[in-house]
Parts: sequence; structure tokens; C-alpha cells
Amino acid sequence: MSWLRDRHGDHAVSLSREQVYRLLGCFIISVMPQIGNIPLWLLLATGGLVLWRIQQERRESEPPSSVVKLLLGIGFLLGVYVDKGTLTGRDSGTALMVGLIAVKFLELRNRRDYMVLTFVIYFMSVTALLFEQSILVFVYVVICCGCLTVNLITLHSPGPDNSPSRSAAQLALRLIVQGLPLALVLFLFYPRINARYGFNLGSSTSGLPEKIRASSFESLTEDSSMAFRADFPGGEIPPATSLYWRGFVLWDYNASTNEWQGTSPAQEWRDLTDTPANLVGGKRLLQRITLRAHSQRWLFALDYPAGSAWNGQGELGTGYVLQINRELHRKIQYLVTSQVDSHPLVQSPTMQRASLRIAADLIRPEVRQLAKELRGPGDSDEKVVANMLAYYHKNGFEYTTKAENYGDDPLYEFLFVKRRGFCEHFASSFTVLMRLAGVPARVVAGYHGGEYNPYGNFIIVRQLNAHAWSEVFIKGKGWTRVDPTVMATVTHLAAPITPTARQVEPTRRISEALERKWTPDWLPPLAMEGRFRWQLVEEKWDQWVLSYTPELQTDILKDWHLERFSWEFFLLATIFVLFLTILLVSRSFQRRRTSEEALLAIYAEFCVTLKNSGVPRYHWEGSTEYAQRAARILPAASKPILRFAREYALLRYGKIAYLEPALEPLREKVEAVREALTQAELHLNQ
Amino acid sequence: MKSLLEQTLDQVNSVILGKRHTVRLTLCCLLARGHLLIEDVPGVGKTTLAHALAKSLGLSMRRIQFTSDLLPADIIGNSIFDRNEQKFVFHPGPLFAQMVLADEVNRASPKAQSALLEAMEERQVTIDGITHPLPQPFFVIATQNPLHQIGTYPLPESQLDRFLMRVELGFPDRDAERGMLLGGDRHDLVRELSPILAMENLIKWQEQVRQVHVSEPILEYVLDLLEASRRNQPAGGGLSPRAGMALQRCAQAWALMEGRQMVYPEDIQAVASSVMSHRLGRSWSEAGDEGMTAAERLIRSVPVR
Repeated sequence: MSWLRDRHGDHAVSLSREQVYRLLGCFIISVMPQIGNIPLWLLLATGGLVLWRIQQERRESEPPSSVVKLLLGIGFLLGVYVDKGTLTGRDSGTALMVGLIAVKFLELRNRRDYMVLTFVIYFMSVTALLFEQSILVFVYVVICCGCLTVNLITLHSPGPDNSPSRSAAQLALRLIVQGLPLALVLFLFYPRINARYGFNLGSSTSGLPEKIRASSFESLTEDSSMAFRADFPGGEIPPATSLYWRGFVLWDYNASTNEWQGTSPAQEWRDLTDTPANLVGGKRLLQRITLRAHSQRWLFALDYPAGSAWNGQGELGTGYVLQINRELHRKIQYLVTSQVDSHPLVQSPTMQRASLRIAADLIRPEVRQLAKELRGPGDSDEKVVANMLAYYHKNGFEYTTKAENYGDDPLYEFLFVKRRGFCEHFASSFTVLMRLAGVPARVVAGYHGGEYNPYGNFIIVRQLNAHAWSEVFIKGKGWTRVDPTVMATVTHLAAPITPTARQVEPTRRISEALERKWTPDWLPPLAMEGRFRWQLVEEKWDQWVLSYTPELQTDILKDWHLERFSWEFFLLATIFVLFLTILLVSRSFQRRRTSEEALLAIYAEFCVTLKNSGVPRYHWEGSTEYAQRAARILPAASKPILRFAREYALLRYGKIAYLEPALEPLREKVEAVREALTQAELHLNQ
Repeated sequence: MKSLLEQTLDQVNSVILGKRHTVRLTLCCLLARGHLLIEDVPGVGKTTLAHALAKSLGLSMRRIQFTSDLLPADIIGNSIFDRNEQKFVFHPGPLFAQMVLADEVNRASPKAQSALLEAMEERQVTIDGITHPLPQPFFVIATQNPLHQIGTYPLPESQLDRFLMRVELGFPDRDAERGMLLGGDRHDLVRELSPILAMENLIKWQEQVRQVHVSEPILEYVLDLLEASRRNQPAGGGLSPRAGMALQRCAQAWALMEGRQMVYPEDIQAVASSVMSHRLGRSWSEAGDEGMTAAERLIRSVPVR
């Protein structure tokens, strides 16, 4: 490719040590964001190769033979295959690229290699966005690209001591800014490959566990990463007591393992009654949820979702859960309407059976005895529920987030020995006892509460907000939510949704020890405010950038009547535009006069300045002679004039190649001449 | 290196008073490996200049007085039969010196002139089929008397082209002349001069002259000058390609003397008059106005870009 060829046609020119180090630096910073995604052995090997390259540079030793490089490449290939089981896909691809770039560094000797490596590292730095699309990562990627660009400019137009100059940085910045409109157009209109039909980009952080057992929420209690964010296009924020984000329903209790499950989507319910029409009471509330990838099939919404979400892909299923037909591997945003504080009134026979099913003989007699005691003679189901809650109260049950060992039978241990536990202890024991006492009941998993952001009017729900609660079916009233964790213990879960509420507590606790040492007293409120503001920025980013999905794009293209153009059309258009760009770029390379023209323009400006002061240039006069004459006539400005002339002559008649940005200092010298002349004139007038 | 050059110039200037620019041009011509033609009336110091320069540069010097009966053999030497050895032995003439002063070159017959000019061009002499190289460096200063043209053979224009530069010494100004009258005998002064430059340095600098950078705009400027010299001129009226090369070479030498590694337009202009004036055709010289020389007019007709 001709544009890869060195302008001076000299490939044999060896690179300076600084140039190699700078490219290595660019490589290292572009790998940084992905360090967590790359296997440790590969990181260590890459680090070793980088050190080897530095050593080579310092000792000026010969590059390794091609056999060594080939073996290294094959080694990386095999290693990644063994490690990941595949060579395609995001994770393997990135890992492989890191390793192979390191190998390529070993043979980096001339400018062509340098250019190739630079372009590969450009790509490398962009792959960080395949893993995370947050603003910070985006900004980091842009900075990486900026560094690479500065480096590239420095290679072609070195500064005085071969180091990156300020004008190179300015040029890089200008290039990036100039590229933005094109990037925007591509972002908006260029058809995307829909990741759904493509390959799996890798699994993301997981959220709620699919099965719930005694300690399954343990790992979540300290996890302050965001699960989703909800805002309310209607403007109305629901009260804190209604913030039950429904995830999925657990029907089956395995008494021997003390596990709740039954959320398999394969489960068929022939007589589905869970339709929006069966919800009574409450009021409808529209939410917009930005859900992080969680590698599961649930969408979340406030109790009870009354309709499908995400363009119908999230279907309303049994137990009023929103399910999608595949695992969610990217961040999505959807609108969903919920009927808050309502009750599903109707219960199908299948569901009735499922919500009473319990293997009572596997449960310890003490528990069964307790269940028997719950229902006094003639007691209604509601009374049974109240009795159970009273039991928790009476016996001083406590909510805790500390992990404890509950032995072989966590249910018994929780109810009769420890009497404190996580939400799933409460929900599980409550539901088991309800079923034993003949009240239809089920466990619901989801999130409770969230952090309200007063600036953006949205709620951030974190993993530590993961929660499990129970629902019982009361005849005539329908399914009713009972949260034994809240109702049986202190009312701390029902606090209003302010930053000081319980939701923030765990995060606070972690950072408190660190903060206490240096944080001035006034900082926490300020830090809190900064946090809110930052969340707001993130929200806008999600709303304006990440939520621009292929679906939305299709809609926009439809609006512009572009939908009949197939992707083949866009492919051809791309090739055409690329061709045109290359043509233009190569033409601008041929037109090497531009920097000379710029230099002459500056000189013309200089001449005009002096002419205005009464010293016109004779057309046969060289710059130095002219400047000397002018300096004699205008002694006030003699210094800047001569300084300019010296600089100009060096550029104009010297050997050094220069680019337009390098002329900035010269322009400033003309400015200095003008200033000196103005000063002198002012002086004269006074 | 500049200081060494300047020292040399200062020393020569202590003998030749008030002719700084001409002295500088002379040295420039020497650095550019060219030969110099001095055209002036007798008694202005042509010989003294050559002597002082040769002495300061540590060069061997010979003087040849050209007369109408001078034969080529008187210049280059001849082969004489040696009885003892029973063969012809070459006896080098006065031309075999590093610096040769050819005085009143237009007095000699064209035959003698062309012998000199050929040797200048070839830097070697061939006699009886044997080639004898001339010493290195080899520098000829020829002088020509513009007056008293009767009975002389002025060098034709084609021959003038062989001289890299032509300079005129001219009369010194009053101050310089006073200095001369007050000072001692020129011959004594020259005898007291000591060499400042080693010969190796001179040769090294002659090499460096070729490496002085000539940028694209300078090349354009030279080409512009050549083109302008030929515009609206009869055949042979303009500058020859050799003149262009001479201009460039002299400008390079001048730039080097100024301590630069690149040629500026001012360098071209500084040497232009000496390089071009004897090469421009009669039509240029005749169209004189405003007291300007032909070279000056040419320079003013070409803009520096």
C-alpha cells in the first residue's frame, strides 16, 4: 500500500529508542482497561516480551530469529485455545491480539513495522469498548487514540529533539475533532450488525442467582455495582414502600437442599391467568429501565408489570415476570408499565397446586409443629400470615448481612437457633411455613429500594439491593406481597428513599474506614452531590448513546425512507466513500506544497507589516537583507524583525522538512514584530 | 572554522587596504575551486593580493608575466634531453605551482593564452604524450589591463567563461590610500605574513562547499536568473549553463564563509556580479542605465520568492 510507504522512501532507517519506547507505552496504556479480561499467564508473557524488547533496545542486540517468533506466536495461539476453548469471540480474540502484538514488537525495526503496529494498537485500544461502554472507558479509549496519533505525527514530523511537540498534540487534537462529525454520521446511519444474531460477545457480570438457597445473596450484599437504573417518564416517583422490583418467581422448594427454584422458562402453564386484566387496584406507572447485562433472562419492573416490555421481546409470563427468550449480554433500555400496589386477583388451578406443593415429610417435625400452631381453630389465611409475622416479632428475629454457618438444616437453624439471617432466610422460611399451613405461597426474587438521584429524578438499583420476598394468595383479595424481612423486624427497610436510607449503608460502611482518615467534614455531602451528578451524566450517556439500538436505528432510517436500502447498499456506499477518502488523502499527500504555502503566507504577512510601517520590500530583496534594512530603519522593532528573518530563512532555505503546525512559533514572531511596531508608534505619538 | 577564515581574511586585508569585499570574493572563488580574473589598471595591488593570499594560505606561488612573445612552453615547461640519463626529462614550467599569477594575460598570443586556459580547465598538462597533474589545490589569478588595448589579444567571451569570477580591484578610497602611504613597503609586509590555514583545511573546505544545502527555492531563483538573462537577448547574449553552475557553486562557498550550511538568496546576490558580469553578452552591457552594472540590472529584474 503506497500510503504505508515512508515518504522519504527509506525503510532501512532504524527507529530511535525513544520512538520504540513511546509505542510500547501506547501499547501498555491501551491494554490497561482490559487487564481483568486477559488471562494472567498471557499478561505475564506479554510483560516478559515487552521487557525483552526494552532490553534489546538497551543492549542494541539483534532481534530474535523468525523461528523464535513463530514459536512464540504458535504458543500464544495454543495457550489461548486451551484457556478459552476457542479462538474466536471477544475474549479469545482480544487475548490473542495482545500476545501477538507483543511478538510483533520483537521484530519492530523500521518505519513500516512501526506503522503496522500503530494501526493494530489503534484497534487494540478500541476493543476495550467491547467489554464496557461506560463514559470513562470511552474517554480512556479516546485518550489512547490521541496518544497514538501524537506518536504518529511525531514519527513523521519530529520535534527539535525527536520528542513529541506541543504542535503535534494540537494537530492530533484537531484531527480527532475533525473526525467527530464523520464518526457521528457513521454512528447514526451506518447499519450495525445486530449482536443478537452474531456471536456472543462474552458473558457479563451476573446478578441474581437462579436458585435461591440460604446464602445465595451473601455475595451481593456488598456489591455496589449497578443492576439497573429506572426513571419515570410520567414524572411521578413511587413511594419507597412500593419499590419492589420484580424479577422472577420461585415455585419449587427442595426440602433436602433447602433450595428454591422453578424458574425454568421451559415450564409450561396451560391455564395462564396472569394477564394485565387480572390486576386490581393500584395505579399504573410508566418506567424506563436501563438494565445492565446480567447473562440471564429476566427483565425487571415494579410490582406488578402490566404488559410486555422492550418491543415485546420481554413477555409477561406466569407469576407476572418479564422474560426474554435469550440471555441478556448487553445493556438495554426498555419502557414498561406497572400497576403499582395492585393484586392479581385470579389464580389458576395449576398455579394453586404449585403454590401449595411441599414435601412435608422431608421437613423437621419442629417446623411442622410450628406450622400447625399457626392456624388456630377457624383462623383465616390472613390470620395465619399475621400469626407467622407475630412469631418473628415475638422471638426477636433480626436482619443481618453477615454470613453465618447455618449447618445441615438451615431452615431449622434459622427458625429455632440463630434467629437472624438475610432476606432469603425470612422469605424462604415464611413461604415454607405458609405452604405447610395450607396457604398458597411463593418466593419472589428481585430488588428492593434503590438510591434516588434528586438531580436526574431517577433511581439507581444496585446489586446490594437484591431482595427476596413472599407472596401469599388470599381468597377474595388475590396474591398479596408479604415481605417478612421488613414486617418481622425493625422497619428500617421502609424508610423513605433518601441517600441516608439503608440502601446506601453498605457502601458507606466499606468506604468509611478509608474515608475517615483524610476526608474533611464538609466533603461527604459534596461527595454525595458529585456522585449524584455523575450518575446523571451516566444516565444521559445511556439515554443518548447506548440506547441507540439497531432497532431504533431502523426506525430512524425508516423515517428518512432509507429502509429499502439493504446492507449491501451500505456496504457498497462504504467502499465508495473509503475509495474517495483514499483518493483525497493521497492527493493531499501529493500536494506537499501546502506547508510551503503556509510559510510564504506568513512571510507575506511579515512584509505587509513592515510595509505598513514604511519599509516595503523590493521584489529582488532576499528576506535576510530586507530584514536587516528594515531593522536599521525601524530600530524599535529590530530584534523581533531579525529574529523572524533568521527563523524564516532556516525554514525556507534549510534542509529540515516541516509541517504546517510547526510554523506556529514563526507566526508568533510576526505577531511580536507587529506588537513592537505598535508600541513604538504609540511611544512616538505620546 | 569561521574564525580561521576570518583571520586569514583579516591578515590579507592588513596588506590590501580597503578592499574587504574583493578579498572575500577572491577567497570564495578559491574555495569554490574556480579561477579568478582580475581586470584592472596596474598598480592597484593585484600582485600583492595574490602574494598575500598565497602566503596566508601556505600555498606555493609563481608569477608569469605574459608578453606577446610568450610561448606555451614558457608556461607549462618543456622536455630537455638529459645526456647522463640518455632521455628526455620534463622540466616543469612556472605553471606548476599551487597559486599562479598570470599577469596581463591579454598581452600574450592566443596560443599562449589557450595553453594556460587548457591547463586551468584540465588541471593537468600533457607534454610528449605524458600527462603531468598540476598541484592541488590549483588556483590561477589572471590579470587583464582594460586600457592600452593596442597590440593585445583580449580574451574572447568563450574563454572568459573559464574563469569562475571576474573582479575589479579599483582604486582604494582616500583613507585606505593614506594607510598605504603611512604603512611600510608592501613587499616587506607580504614577506612577514605567516600561513594561517593549513593546506589540508583548504582542501577540506573545498569539499564542504559541495555539501552546502541548496534548497528548492534557491534552485528556482538561479533558474529564474538564467532565464531572465536570456530573455529578449540575441543568441549568446544570456548566461550559459556553466554560468548557472558557477553561480550555484560560488553561492555555496559564500554561504560556507558566512558560517552557514545552506544557501540564502543573499549569497547568490553577493557573488552574482563577479560571476555574471564577464559572462553577460554585449547587449547586456550596452543597455546600461542609472549607473548600474549589467549584473545588478539582471538581479533587480528577478524577484526573490
